[in-house]
Amino acid sequence: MTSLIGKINQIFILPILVVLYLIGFGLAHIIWRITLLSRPRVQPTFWQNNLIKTDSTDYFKSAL
Amino acid sequence: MRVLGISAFYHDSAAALLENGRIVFAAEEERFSRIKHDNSFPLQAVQACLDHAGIKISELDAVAYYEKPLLKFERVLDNFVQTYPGSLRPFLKSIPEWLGDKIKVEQTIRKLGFAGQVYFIPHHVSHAAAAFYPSPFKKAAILTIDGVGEYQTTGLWTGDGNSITPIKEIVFPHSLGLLYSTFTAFLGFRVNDDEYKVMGMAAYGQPKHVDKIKRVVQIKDDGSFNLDLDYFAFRQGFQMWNRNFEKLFGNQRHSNERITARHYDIAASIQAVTEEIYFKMLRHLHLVTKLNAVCVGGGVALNALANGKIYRETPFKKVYIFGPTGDSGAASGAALFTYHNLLKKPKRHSVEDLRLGTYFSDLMIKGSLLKSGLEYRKFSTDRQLISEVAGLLAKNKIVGWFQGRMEYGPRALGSRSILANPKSPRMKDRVNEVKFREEFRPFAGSVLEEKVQDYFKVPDSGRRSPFMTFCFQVKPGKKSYLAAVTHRDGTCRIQTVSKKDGLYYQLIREFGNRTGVYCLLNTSFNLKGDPIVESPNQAIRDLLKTRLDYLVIGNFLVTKPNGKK
Repeated sequence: MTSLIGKINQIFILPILVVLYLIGFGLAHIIWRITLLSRPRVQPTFWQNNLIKTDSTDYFKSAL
Repeated sequence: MRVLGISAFYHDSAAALLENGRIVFAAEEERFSRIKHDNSFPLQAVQACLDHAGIKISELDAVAYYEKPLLKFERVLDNFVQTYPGSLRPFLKSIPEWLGDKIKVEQTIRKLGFAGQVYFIPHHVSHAAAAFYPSPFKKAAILTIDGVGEYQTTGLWTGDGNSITPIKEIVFPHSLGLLYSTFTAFLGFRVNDDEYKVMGMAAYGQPKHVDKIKRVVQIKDDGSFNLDLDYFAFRQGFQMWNRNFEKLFGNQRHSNERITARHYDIAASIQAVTEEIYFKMLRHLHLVTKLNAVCVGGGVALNALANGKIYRETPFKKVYIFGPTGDSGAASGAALFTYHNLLKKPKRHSVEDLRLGTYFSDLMIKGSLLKSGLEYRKFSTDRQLISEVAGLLAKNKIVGWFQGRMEYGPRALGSRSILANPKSPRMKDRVNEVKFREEFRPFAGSVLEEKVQDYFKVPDSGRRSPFMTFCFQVKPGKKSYLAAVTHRDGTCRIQTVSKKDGLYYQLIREFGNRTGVYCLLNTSFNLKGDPIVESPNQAIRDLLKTRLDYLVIGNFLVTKPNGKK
């Protein structure tokens, strides 16, 4: 049986996510669009420098 | 020192246990759960690792997870921002999933009773580690290439002793793996499952659509590439491609639709473009590293057809491709990276044997056989068993072969295999009937290592292919000996079998002594849509469900009941 909190959660999670998406992601999308303008149109290569620091143990202790 | 590696929540979840740097046990969760490509947290595989070592989880020194979940979540959110407002539906579907188990990996591991250090190894570092550390090379160039990890889809690296150093990368959404998967889905197959079917189809078509594919992917001479996102929908929807893509390539094929020449041509074209990018990357990697040896990892390295051409198309002289090169292998990669690179343990152990899974004793096998009520014979010596089974295979019987420890990775390498005579032209159709699979799909061949150059055009440095990760051309004069394993393009995916493979080696040698062909048709012991069998009970069930003629489990030969087809 679903608990009361579970039921409330089920009812409200969807509208909360929709509002979050429409406002939060909408604003972020506009900012992202603006940053796109500064990117070069022609690229000589699509390789990028790989910046993973394989010699830093602390980096691997984090999930981020 | 014991380190447990775990991969989960994308596809092919797995666990691998390292003891003093040696992989002592590894298995995919699907083998236990019986859900093909199971992506759930691999609880049963973890337990099997612990059972094998006879320890509790608290006795592990470290646990390594094969990616950084929060970084991946960041990429998912970033993607929703970029594809706003079209990404609303996938956002609503995936956010609750992410906020559940996917993001709480450390908590899940803690709940199992582990209090020590958990390391989060970036996805492509895990692939690079799985590609390099098990190799016999002290120093090598490394290419990792798959669908996507956190952000990275492609990586160039060098491996030297215990360390792995990154060089360059390509990031999401530009992905060769996702490009190939898009065509896999477009041709009516399942993403992350059926890519090898497209590879098999390629031999039946002509690469007529290469120019069109090059409109959707821009390729540089250094192997770097960029997808034209105007043709793809995988970032913002549940479908891989969009209307522009359909305008270019025509209608998609539905899974139950007949396969036509156009579909075969599309498969041949995407295979050709994939190979072009693959070899350009490898040539660039060689130019950058100046090394003669290369290790390739990530799901795209399962493309055995492309792998077989590396010797011919690139300057690399030595190539190592770990068998479970996809995400299941990344579990061992994460553990190996932790052990060597983070815990600074120097001694490496090259992996030459992938029989790293579960094992069943004679007593357990006998118990399953008695329960089944089937007739069986037990052979007191290996020699008697080998003689009998080689005789059956020579008489064109199809045999289920269940021996020793289960293989780690997607290929059956003589532990959980279905074996047959490769000489018979009809055998391919018969085994396809046993496995209920598509007729265009080729079968692999297991050949004695010392005989491989008698049958296949294999370079001297590529004589070893123990993990079935390379396709090579069958020599023209030998095609009649290998009719059932020679694909339409004259290639065969091969497994070289050496004396170290024990009973399997003896079986092929005895079969060769009787027939003159030192090679067997080898396909995984599973039915269409099922994972490879793990236990004797599952093998017995498959014997009864299919047209398999015999089943060999350990030293027991099981005959199908009279009248059962």
